[in-house]
Amino acid sequence: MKKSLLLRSTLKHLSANSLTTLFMCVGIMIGVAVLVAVIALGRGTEARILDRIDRVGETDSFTIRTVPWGLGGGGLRDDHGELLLSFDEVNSLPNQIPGIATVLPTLNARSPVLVGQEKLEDIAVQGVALNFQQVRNINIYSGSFFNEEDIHSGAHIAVIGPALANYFFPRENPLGKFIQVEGMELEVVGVLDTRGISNSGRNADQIVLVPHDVFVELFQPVGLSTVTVTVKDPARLEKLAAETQNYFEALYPGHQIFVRYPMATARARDEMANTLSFYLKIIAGTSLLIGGTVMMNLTNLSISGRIREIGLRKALGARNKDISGQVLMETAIISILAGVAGIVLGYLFANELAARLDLRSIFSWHAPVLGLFFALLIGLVFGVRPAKRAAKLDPVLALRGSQQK
Amino acid sequence: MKTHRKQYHTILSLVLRTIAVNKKRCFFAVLGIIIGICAVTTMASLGYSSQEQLEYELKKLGTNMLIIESGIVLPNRSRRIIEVDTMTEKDIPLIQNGVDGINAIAPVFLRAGIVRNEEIPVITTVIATRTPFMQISALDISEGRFFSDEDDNQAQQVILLGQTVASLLFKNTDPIGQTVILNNTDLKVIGILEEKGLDANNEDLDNLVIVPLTTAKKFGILDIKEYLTHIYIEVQQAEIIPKVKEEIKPILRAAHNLNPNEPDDFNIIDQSQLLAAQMDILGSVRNLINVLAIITLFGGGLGITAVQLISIRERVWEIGLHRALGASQKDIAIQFIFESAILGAIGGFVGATVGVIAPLTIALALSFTPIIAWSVLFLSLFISVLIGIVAGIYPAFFASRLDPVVALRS
Repeated sequence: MKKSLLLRSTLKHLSANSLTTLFMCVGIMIGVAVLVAVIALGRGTEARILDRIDRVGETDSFTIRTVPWGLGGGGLRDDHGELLLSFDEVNSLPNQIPGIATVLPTLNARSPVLVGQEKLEDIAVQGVALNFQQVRNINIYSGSFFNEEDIHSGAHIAVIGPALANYFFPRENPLGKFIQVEGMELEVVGVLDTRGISNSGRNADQIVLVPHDVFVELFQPVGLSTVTVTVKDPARLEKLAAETQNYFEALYPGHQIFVRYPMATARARDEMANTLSFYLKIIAGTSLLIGGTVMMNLTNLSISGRIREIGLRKALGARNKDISGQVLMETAIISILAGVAGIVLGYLFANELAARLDLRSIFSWHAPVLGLFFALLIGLVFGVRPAKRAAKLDPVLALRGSQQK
Repeated sequence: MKTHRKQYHTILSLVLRTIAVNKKRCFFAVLGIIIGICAVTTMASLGYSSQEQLEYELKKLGTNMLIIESGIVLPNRSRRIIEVDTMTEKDIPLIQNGVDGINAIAPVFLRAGIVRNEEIPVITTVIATRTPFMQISALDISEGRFFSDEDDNQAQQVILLGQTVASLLFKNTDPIGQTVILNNTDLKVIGILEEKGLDANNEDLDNLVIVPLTTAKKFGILDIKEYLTHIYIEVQQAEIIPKVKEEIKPILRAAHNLNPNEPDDFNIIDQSQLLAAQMDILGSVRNLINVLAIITLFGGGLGITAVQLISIRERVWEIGLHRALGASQKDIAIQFIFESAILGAIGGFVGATVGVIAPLTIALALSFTPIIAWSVLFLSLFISVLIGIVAGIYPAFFASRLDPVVALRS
């Protein structure tokens, strides 16, 4: 049989035996769709969960300092008088080390804060850049964060933590009021959302944020005290932190640079990522099993329904090779068409469910490729082999149409 | 009656013979049911185990922790403002006995302090507490040991150092067994806490030292008073935190003799951001498990249905033959129902057995908490068997009404 003839006969067969073909198609489609939908939803949920942890735990950032933790506010107390960690060096970091997303230079000090006669001692004051809010996932409770103009104009303004707002302005709107730090009057333009306490019992809501230039005016710091660096992939946090430390220590021979990150949270994140990726494997395996079984069942049954037809073709002079060639062609066409339909169906289904149920779905190429490969494999094993066996049968037996051996 | 039983007997043996002869078709029907039940149950059960595991990992970040701060709370979402001396260790048994779901509770006196050796002073957070504190705040030791109840009771002069303090004071030498000075009291370093890094607010979690409360009281470390600054509590599950908070309030108010019009002289804090994240995370895992169960049940169900429909088509001829040989419509209906029931029972039994054993084995191998999703197991069992039976009865009904001649011709 010529190739074109084979193809034509295949197509004719497919349309003629529409019911059998339909069942095989449905089987493959369902199998692939289940696989694609399940894997898309599984991966989406994994990403959503890890994002959530990164957002709350800051596991995508590490912090660089020029003095060890436990000794004051970093560069402020650097008694060498050298300007360590200049703005330019820090800002060029994303170009020097691939994998680093943003760099946030911060200045830290602790100082008393006054409003009239009321005074709170030892409050954290931070001088921040424009991208502070975004990098550190800060939410504003009322008012607004500094905008670009505020940062550059040198206006004496501050964003304060809710604990300070409640202490100094218990029954009034703190926006537009003034607080005094180191003798300077600062207008309150925003109040942060509450962040709660840290494990060591420190109240994170007792904080004053001022624009970078205002901080310099207030405390005349020597170099930057703290630099917060965010990375693109939180899984590589530890490695990038070490790389950055080496980079700066090479830049300043003889100086030690201190790098730290939310280790406990990062460790928990790693463990959770492991748990999730393990569960994802289970999900993929199970859906493959279900999809595979559905495909296998239907392919097999639709083939065994055709033994009589194979006998007829043989009686009419078709050779074994022709028959297996035809079945092979048929299986390939059905597998691919139904497989592609299954991919589309599964993806649409997953998206729809994700939107309705507050989940997330991520489309990856693994699932469709795996699904198509499986559809073909099953088509070959459970479609072509029985067909070959049928082709070897005596035409008379096959024509009788009995499935009994 | 007797003839009836005989008739059933004949049909049963006929059914068994049909199954034996149509091994392949029956195998696929049963396999569909088995895979359907066991795969869906395994997926859901291990989902629950993974969820439990995630919760355990989140717990280590302190989601089950509550902290009671002493101090007058001004209205308007405020925090501890005025230090008061009303919260004491006497409150602890009151809370422990009055509130359900508390795993551990620890008294804490917390102050900033200076710890030093001969050369270097380090400003740090000093925590005077008792042994349950380690469990509640999920502290691990990297070197040495925790202090014991005995150390505490006998007011032993011992101290635990956080990594930051240890490395500042002792650089590269081993701190264990060395002596540090805290408020003119010599204390022996018995353990170094495992490094925790920074918290979400960039606060150093390793800049702290811990001393037994009795020791602190005996030697007057931090000018310690009789009152507590904090009480640390671990609850059994994060879900009950709001309830526990509500139950603690009246107990403490009564213990501190507060009038109804006086504000609380304490403030109960949880890790609200972390807690919200935990709820969100565990919720989306639960959602995922449900969705996956639905998708796979749906897919598997369609698969089983399709198999049944195909096999009916093939059996029209067989039914025609039976009818031609004198079987009544009722006989054929009974035969098909029997067959479906037997296949459904076999598939259901094997599927349920594997569906229980497989997730248990995998969970144990991974040291996850083994959980069986019974509801999903029964649901999938019900659906598979239902499909099997409906798909069996419908063709029986349909085929038994066919004219034998027409059926035989097909």
